[in-house]
Amino acid sequence: MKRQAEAQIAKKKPKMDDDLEYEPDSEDERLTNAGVLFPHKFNIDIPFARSEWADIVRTTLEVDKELKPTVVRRTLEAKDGVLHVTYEALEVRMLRTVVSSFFDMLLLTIDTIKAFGEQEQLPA
Amino acid sequence: MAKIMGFEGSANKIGVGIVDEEGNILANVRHTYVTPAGTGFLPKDTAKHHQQHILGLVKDALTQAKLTPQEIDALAYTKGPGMGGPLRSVAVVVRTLAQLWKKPIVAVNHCVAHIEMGRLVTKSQNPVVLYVSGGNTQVIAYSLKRYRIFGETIDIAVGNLLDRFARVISLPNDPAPGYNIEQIVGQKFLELPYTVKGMDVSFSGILSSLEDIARHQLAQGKCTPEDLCFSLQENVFAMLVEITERAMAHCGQSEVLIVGGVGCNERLQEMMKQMVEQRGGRVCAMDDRYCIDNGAMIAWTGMLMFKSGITTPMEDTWCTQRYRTDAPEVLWRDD
Repeated sequence: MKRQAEAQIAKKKPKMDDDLEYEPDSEDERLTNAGVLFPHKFNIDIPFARSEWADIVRTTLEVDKELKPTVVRRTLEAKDGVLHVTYEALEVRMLRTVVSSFFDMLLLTIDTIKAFGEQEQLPA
Repeated sequence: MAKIMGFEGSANKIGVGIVDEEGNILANVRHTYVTPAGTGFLPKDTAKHHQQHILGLVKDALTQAKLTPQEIDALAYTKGPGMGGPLRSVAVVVRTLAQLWKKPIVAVNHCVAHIEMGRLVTKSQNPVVLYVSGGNTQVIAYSLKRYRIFGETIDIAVGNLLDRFARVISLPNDPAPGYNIEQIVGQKFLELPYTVKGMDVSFSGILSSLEDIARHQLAQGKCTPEDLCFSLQENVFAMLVEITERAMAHCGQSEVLIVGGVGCNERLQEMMKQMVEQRGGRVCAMDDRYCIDNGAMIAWTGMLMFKSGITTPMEDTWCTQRYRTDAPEVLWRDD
């Protein structure tokens, strides 16, 4: 069931921009020991060209809490320019919904950094 | 001179505005998400629309105001009320820009922003406010550091009624269904429920009646869509005028300010003016640049808050779909 969930999610991942690489964690003991109450899990590590951008993205996305904390759990960590994201959920459907929403907000944040993060905007 | 950039995206309009501390509006750009006739806008699609347009609007606003990001002193955004997905999309951009540009954030109440923009543009001091839009219908007066709600809808907003009626008869949503209803009013008045409840109003029964009339009388050719639009406007605007007059009498005010998208409606303004002038007062109304949701109203209210020392820590810059008008403390008014 877990593999099915992750395979399902993998197909829905949006295409990443050039300066990002998708690098999923392989399974390890921590995953196989996932709690009974949250059987479905998703994680992704997102490297950024600059360390400060990972911190900015984490701060931006951390503020909005999950709408249903009793059935979905999320952790965000920024370390050495990599954003580590973990989701755990009771149901595959729920996991797909929250991960999809997370990616929408992630891409919006990244687009904002690309538009305004590099240089001063000059008047026309 | 301080300048603030405001972001508004609580419903189907995404807007970015820039104002200075004297109340000059340096930029006010906006884009509306328009759906096909007979349909309404849904939160997910609306959020996607806002995500696609917001960064372009930020650039356009800076260009229009001839400013660089470093000349902006703070960023204001709509904390609520509104649709969840669209609100969060705007807040995410604001948080990111605040960190990139190293500027503070001011979280603004959408309803209070309409009031403050109305007061700025019409130069009214202490009016009774009728706030009418697709998401809100309230009669508000300022008292003791709060915008107090004296009367309101107990179910759907009047703009919601107008928009859903437009769907029933398949009027286009461009530029706005309420505007299109206003353009095709007829001559024959049809009886509809008049549901004023003291200071409050109810609109859901009126919508059901209209759906029933449209299904039967319209199908039999006993009336036209124009007659329905005429009757709807006369009926619900009279209700709004009545509760506003009751608030004027109760508070002893002589000015009425109409804000919100439905406040653009010239028939509503006309009916309100008739009532207020009979009472020896003045109606303050605006056109679609400021009545309809816009970024400048958030920027201006953010400016008033910013100058009163109010900023919002990053961890508190979340959004809420329900944020009552009387919740924020109005620290920027001395009266």
